[in-house]
Amino acid sequence: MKIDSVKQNYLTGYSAQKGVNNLSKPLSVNKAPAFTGSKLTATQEAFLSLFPSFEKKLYKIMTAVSDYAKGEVGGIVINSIGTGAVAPWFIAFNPLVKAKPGASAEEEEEVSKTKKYTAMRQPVSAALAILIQVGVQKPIDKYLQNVTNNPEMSNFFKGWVLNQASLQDEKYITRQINNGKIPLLAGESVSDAVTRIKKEQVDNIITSLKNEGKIKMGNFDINDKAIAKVVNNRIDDYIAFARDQQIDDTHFRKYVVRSAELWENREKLNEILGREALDKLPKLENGNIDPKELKKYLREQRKQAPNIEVKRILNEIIQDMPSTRESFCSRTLERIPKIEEACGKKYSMDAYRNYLRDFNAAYETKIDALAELKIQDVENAKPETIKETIKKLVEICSFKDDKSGKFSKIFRDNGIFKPESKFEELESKVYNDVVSSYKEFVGHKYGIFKQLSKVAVGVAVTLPITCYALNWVYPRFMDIFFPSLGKSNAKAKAEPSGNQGGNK
Amino acid sequence: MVNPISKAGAWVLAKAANSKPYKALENKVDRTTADNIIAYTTIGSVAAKDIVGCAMYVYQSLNNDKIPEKRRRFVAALDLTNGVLMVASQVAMFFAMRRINEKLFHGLLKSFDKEGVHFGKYCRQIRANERNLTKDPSKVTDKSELRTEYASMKDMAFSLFKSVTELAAATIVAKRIIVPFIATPLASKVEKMMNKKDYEQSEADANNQNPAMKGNAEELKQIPEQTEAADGNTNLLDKYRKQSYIA
Repeated sequence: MKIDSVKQNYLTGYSAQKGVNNLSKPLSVNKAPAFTGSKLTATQEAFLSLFPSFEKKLYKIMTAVSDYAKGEVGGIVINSIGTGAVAPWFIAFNPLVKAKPGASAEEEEEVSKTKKYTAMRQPVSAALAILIQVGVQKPIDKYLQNVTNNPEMSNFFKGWVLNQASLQDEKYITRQINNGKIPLLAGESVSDAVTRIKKEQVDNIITSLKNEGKIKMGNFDINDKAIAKVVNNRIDDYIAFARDQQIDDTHFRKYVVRSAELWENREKLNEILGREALDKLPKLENGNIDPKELKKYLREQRKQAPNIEVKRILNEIIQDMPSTRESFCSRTLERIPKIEEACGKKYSMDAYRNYLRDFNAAYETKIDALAELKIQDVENAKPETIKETIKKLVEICSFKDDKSGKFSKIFRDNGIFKPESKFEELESKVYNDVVSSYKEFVGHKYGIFKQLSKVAVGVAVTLPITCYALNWVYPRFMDIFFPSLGKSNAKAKAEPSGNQGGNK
Repeated sequence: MVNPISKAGAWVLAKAANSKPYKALENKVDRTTADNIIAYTTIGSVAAKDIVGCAMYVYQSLNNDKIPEKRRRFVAALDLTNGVLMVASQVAMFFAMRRINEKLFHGLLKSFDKEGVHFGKYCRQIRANERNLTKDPSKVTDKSELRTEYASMKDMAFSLFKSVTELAAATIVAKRIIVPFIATPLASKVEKMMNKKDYEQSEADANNQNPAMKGNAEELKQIPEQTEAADGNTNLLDKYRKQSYIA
């Protein structure tokens, strides 16, 4: 049996192993993936610390540049790298461009100088592109943010998601505070004020959704179709979460067999892997058991194991990574009472198999209910439908009607499902999740709007400016920094400056 | 109080955002398509800029008094050929890279392997560390949460990797490495073809209409067949001008 079969936490943990095969699909349940990438969370830092050195460095670089390397800015920068760093070499040393056969040494040198003179146009062009075209991006960002966040201007976007006046961008709020347009409360810092304002705005949206099934932006309501889409997206996320929790039924047999192995050998395993035995082993400075000593100990125990099952279990722990070996011992023992509990305190293979089936069935029930809840006619969705759908979503996610206690045992207040005792918490979470989905929805639409605006400005304004600037700067730059290339060939010096065009 | 210029800008943007073409595009944008649409608009922007640049070259060539009138159409045609080649090769390279970048990504960042082997390994390590630190199994991060965080890291990295490699393939490899090598021989061929056509036309003119043009035809015949762009790029106006001292 492979290590994997022991790795599973039969009650809660299978989803991780299963879920990794589905990483390409949207997994955001509690945290929507950032639209442009963002700084790392503590958990992400923990992952990163385990990456190989090269990958760690590369990922850090990617995180640092993620806001800039995509979209229009990325296009300009990468294009400029090609223009400034690659093109000059291919121009200056282009073997296809040579003096005519039988040319004198002087003529050959002329050609060489001309090529170099022309090649130098590329880095100048790249530098200007970055300076002008990238330089204009930030003002565009700022202006578009103002246009869509400022209530006075955003009202031009009547009822459409680009209007963000009532759910403003963090940067916009910060700017307003710094400009004194939003006063701080006594003793409040700017970041606290931003958090407060954002919370107030989210709360207002939630109230509006709860009471009217609408999202108000400035003086207008966002169109119902957009909100219906958002609610459906959130339901899809919950369905994805529930699916990830289910156990892969093709492995049921393996899990049942392993449960029997653990159950039947529970006393021996407790004796070998219990704290009492392990605490006798030499420890490291951090208080953990020395993995080498643990390995030695487990090998000895394997030799004396009473049966092949115990040998196999110990073998899997021995082969595990040194850093996780000790916790593997604990996790193996923790599974035994969980298996017992899953079987209703009376273990049998059949009972455990039934538990696994019930486990999946419980999630399937929720999945079916969620799928049924989705708004079918998004195009013609009414605020009343939206309002009711969210209310029902909260009800489905709670298991307050669980009289048998079956769901309580399975869902265990995990992720999106919560017991009756936490109904208010659940309600708040669902509404916040819907608002978070709305933000994500707006983020995508706004991202495209911003991108197209930048493309339009780039093609119609900054590109021609860059071209004319290049024609002005280039000959002067060459005269100042490379006078020999220009002066030695009067024709070469004179000719290129009259050209215009952008694809150089 | 918003100034009138900003307000006018907002009005224009709102009109554009409410236009039918924009709405049609925007309706296609959701969380599964947003990254792709951003990528397409970025390569679209690169292509649009090259098209504008090419159009400017062609316009210049056709209206440049310093080029003999008979040569203008010829130079403009060569500029156009190169512009088309540049745009086509970039778009082709962009889509070619899209087909292979997933493999490249998994090859470069093995921690994000497709099968999730590394994820399983890291997950156990993180949970073991938490268990060692807290000595309380209930305080160990849930695997679903770890998976969400890991997926978010992977999504960010892959999205960025795709964007950068696709753009680099288009604007560096295609535009700056492949095109210059294709453009020079191609330009020679187009030039040869056009010279031949011009020569035949001139000869026909000379024979049928105006014998005085024969001299011109002879002159055209003398145009060197192999002319080469010094910079290997698309501006054949440059190339034409340099002909006198390079070739």
